[in-house]
Amino acid sequence: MSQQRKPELRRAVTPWGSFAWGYSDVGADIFIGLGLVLAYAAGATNVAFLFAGIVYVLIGLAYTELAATYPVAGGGQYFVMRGLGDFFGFIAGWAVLLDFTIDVTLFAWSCVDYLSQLIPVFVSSLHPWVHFSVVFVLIAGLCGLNTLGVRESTAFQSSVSAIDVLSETLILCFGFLFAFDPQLLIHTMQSAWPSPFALMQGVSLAIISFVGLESISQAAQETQRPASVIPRTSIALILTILIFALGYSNLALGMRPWHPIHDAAGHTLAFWQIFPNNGDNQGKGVALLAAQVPYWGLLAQYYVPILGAILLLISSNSGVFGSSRIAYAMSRSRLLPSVFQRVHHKFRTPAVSILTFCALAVVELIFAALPGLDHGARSVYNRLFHGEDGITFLGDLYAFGAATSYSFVFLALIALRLNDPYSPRKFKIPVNVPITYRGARVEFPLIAVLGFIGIASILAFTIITHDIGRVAGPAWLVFGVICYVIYRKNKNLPVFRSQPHDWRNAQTEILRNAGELELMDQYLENLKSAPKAAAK
Amino acid sequence: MTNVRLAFFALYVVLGVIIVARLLGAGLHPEIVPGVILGILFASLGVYRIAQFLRSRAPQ
Repeated sequence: MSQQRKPELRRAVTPWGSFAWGYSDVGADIFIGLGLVLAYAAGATNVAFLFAGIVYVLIGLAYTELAATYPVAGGGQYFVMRGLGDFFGFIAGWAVLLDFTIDVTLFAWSCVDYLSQLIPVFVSSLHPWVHFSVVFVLIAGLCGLNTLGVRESTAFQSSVSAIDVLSETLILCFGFLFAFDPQLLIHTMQSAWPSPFALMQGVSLAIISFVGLESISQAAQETQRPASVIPRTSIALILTILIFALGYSNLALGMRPWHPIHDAAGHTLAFWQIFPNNGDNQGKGVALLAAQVPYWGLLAQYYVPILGAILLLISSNSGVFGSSRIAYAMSRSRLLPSVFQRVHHKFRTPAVSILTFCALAVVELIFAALPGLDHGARSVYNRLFHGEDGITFLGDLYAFGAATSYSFVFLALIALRLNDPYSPRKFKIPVNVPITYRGARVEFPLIAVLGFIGIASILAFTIITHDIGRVAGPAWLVFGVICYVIYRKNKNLPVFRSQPHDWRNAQTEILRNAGELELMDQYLENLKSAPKAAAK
Repeated sequence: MTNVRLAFFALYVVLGVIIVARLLGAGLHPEIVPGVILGILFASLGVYRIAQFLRSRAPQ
């Protein structure tokens, strides 16, 4: 082993920091997902969340194994490139890029929706131009801050995460103790059970409450002893997010609002009934629920919109940061042109990537806001897309991008188990079948097959039920593949095959940099005992 | 601070048990399944965090 190289001292994220990093990204999703799923899945909202939640747990386990085994930033794109080759690595990375740009717009949009709970002039349906302008200013501001290299401090991120975990627990406590009626839950589920089509729509939107697991692998490169820390924090993160999603959905269906809600004709409404056909409410589900929780709602009605807006803005910012980082990583792997590696001479940030993907986020914003801003556009949308509103359009694409990239991650996990059984795995997803593959004993992960079926079915639901998603999502992928083919041909690189990679040295380097020296020694030992043909 | 954190995790366990008990009290209907799973998860997370916390405090 060479003694000249020294481990880099840049891993400063602690176990709590790793949890907070993930939570500030994934934890914000329920703030958007709750209202959207209630609008479509109605009496089956909790079932939609349960189905998506089970798939999410499997995705989380897959990410935990991969991030602990290959603790590098780059996430799904890196795992897929390593497991399935350059072309599929590009597709997974391109889908993640779609998700990150949607993330920027969707979370900024919903941030303004939450603020509208306190500042009525921000209500989208009443003042569409104001809403649009504020979202635009937020995106432009985040673009500027990221170009300048200003990021929210880890301490701030950790504090917001801690306050939010506390706040959500208290809302659920007060809600389940004082407002929850099990008989009402049963009655709502029996009387408002949706059609199969609406349930599929609900499930496809429920998955957006769990998007952001990329952050587990993003954090991996900066976490101390990632192979030991990541599994611990990931499991706590996965369970926490799942519990909040299931908790809110069950509470929303079975709660008696503290203040009775009436429609225009004076009829009393159940809480969940304020969401269908109401884009304004769909964007701020948690704030509306918190305000209806007895006692704690007195306080929660004021602070939850602000807390939600801050969390959503942090998440929107992670979209700007993440898209530029993924584009930079893809460019370094020669999956995207080198222009995306270009660093601003003064601020030393990937300015071209930041500006490109923020511009794309603005295009998505215009497309989402157009029906509200212009009556002519609204009639076109009504004719072509059954009148989907802005937030649903963004939710569609978000679900499409996530389901596509997660599908490839499961395939990559299976491929890596088969092709790279020598990398030590401190955490393995359970239920494995030992088989012999190319002369080596490997463990085939059955759970990954289940997870793939689950996420592929959610992808199918998205394509079947979302008029815009089924057009815009695949169009994004086709556009990307055309650009990829042109780029790789211009550079005389193989298009559908991979360029040569030295994964063995790369893995040794990754483990050395992570400070996982025992694992590195174990890896080198495993390679010595490997059949020569297999250990390439 | 230690006691506060432990109390917080214990709250998860108590809340999980209360949710399951209230749902089962409403009778055995298929509609309570997601809620019962929620309660079990809540309690499990509390137990997991308490165990994790105590393990990290235990002398090496």
